[in-house]
Amino acid sequence: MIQLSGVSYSYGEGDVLSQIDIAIPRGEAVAIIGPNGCGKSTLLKLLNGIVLPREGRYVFDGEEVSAARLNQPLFAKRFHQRIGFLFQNSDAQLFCPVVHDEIAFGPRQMGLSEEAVDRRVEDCLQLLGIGKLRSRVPYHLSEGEKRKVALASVLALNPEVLVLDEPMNGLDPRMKHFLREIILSLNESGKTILCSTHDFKYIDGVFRTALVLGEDHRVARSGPYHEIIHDKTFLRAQNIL
Amino acid sequence: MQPMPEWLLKDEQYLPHRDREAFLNRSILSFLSVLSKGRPRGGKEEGRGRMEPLVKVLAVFTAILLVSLTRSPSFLAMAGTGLLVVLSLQSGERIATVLKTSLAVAVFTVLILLPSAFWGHGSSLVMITAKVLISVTSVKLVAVTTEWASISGAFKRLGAPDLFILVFDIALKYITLLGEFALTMLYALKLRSVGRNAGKTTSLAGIAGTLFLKSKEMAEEMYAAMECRGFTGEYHVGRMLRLGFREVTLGTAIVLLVVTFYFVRA
Ligand SMILES: Nc1ncnc2c1ncn2[C@@H]1O[C@H](COP(=O)(O)OP(=O)(O)OP(=O)(O)O)[C@@H](O)[C@H]1O
Ligand SMILES: [Mg+2]
Repeated sequence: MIQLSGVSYSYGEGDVLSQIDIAIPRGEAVAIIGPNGCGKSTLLKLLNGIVLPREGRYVFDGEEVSAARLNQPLFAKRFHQRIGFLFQNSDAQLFCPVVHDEIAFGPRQMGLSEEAVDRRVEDCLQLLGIGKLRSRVPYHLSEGEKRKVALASVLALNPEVLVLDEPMNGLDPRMKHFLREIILSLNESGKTILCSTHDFKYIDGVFRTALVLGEDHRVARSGPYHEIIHDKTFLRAQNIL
Repeated sequence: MQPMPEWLLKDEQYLPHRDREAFLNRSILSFLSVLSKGRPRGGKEEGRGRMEPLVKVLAVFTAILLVSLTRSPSFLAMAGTGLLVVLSLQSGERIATVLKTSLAVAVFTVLILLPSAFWGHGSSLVMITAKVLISVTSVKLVAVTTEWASISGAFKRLGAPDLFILVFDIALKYITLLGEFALTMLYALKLRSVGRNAGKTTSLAGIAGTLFLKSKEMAEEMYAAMECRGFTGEYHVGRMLRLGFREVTLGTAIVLLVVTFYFVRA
């Protein structure tokens, strides 16, 4: 589904991603792990076409994602519908006057009938248990509420791939458990999940694969989640524990 | 937990329609990212080429004052030549950064003044553009060669009120923070712009609104954070003034400029 070969990226001086090779099959659940500043968020931005590789190739479902392709509106729209991104900072992601509109934004653009849009919005509100927030102003919600609204607004597009940047950050334990369940059942229903996180306690049993980025901005290791997460010596050497 | 809704279990069979305008295309975004890249990291002060910021700020201030007051083309030519000499001592990369900004501003000035040139004020077109070019280039030159912390330090030594320095500092931090935040929001909008969007201006207005709230909140938070760290309205500057060969040379040049200004006028 997702393939990066020899991808490097830099914001100016020095590579923030260096020679990244990964292949993620459809339906996979991958945890992206690494110390602060190793480039996790940048990698996720790249996967969503927000930044483009300085070097190397990004292939999404058999099609290369490049500046030229993303400049073609039809390709760009379809691509953005198929891959959804939950930002590290939910604030930045919410720009509509009320929660209902925020969630309806995507489906409306897809040209669904107003009836179908309403159904999606209701379904998302119910799924995340935020029916009460329907007519609130997104900006004034609490961190956790914002995260749920942002997730709902992404889910409403029904993306095949879901990219989550530290979704557990700043949430209370109950909310973390809840989010874990949601991620699990999304994955079970066939969605490909990529998620950066530091919260190992709460994501146990969600991921099959782990991808570890090192401080040198390269892939330090990738493989079965359980093997890596129990290799304490390795994790300490990577400054993750 | 709620069961997954049925539509979420299937892959979306979505074929986007062609939109008339390529809204939020890459060019807008890359323009914005250039803006937010003008981050006030300030310049790097390299060990060898380092000059006392206070002297730089004073020199530029004097030069701009004289340049804007003068009516003499030859004085402008002289100031311009001096500036070119200083500029040529910089690295190629710096020269490029400085000239990019000042040439852009100069072109803009010419465009603004062009109508007046048609009405027969051609000479003022040249004078004003030259003045703008010199001022912007020298300010930008200071900007790329000085760390922001030392610029506010220089203001402090000049006896600028603490409040002024505070405002100056916060404004600088803000410009980037807000720029980056605006950029992230536009990316978010773009990622969900998967089809027709009738109310494009509404979405943008929403972003502007959030931006305003965010900036107000950031101002309050920053002030609170400063208070928490013991800020009482006073700015302390630590370093001693250093006067060396470079400082004296620049100082002399500025004195010469002042003298010339006086004689050219007389
Ligand atoms: N817009 C930007 N401009 C310049 N440098 C940036 C920018 N965004 C990130 N960086 C730099 O790129 C590096 C990687 O950043 P990134 O946000 O990808 O790290 P991360 O792994 O997500 O860290 P964290 O765990 O703290 O979220 C950091 O050194 C950061 O300073
Ligand atoms: Mg991050």
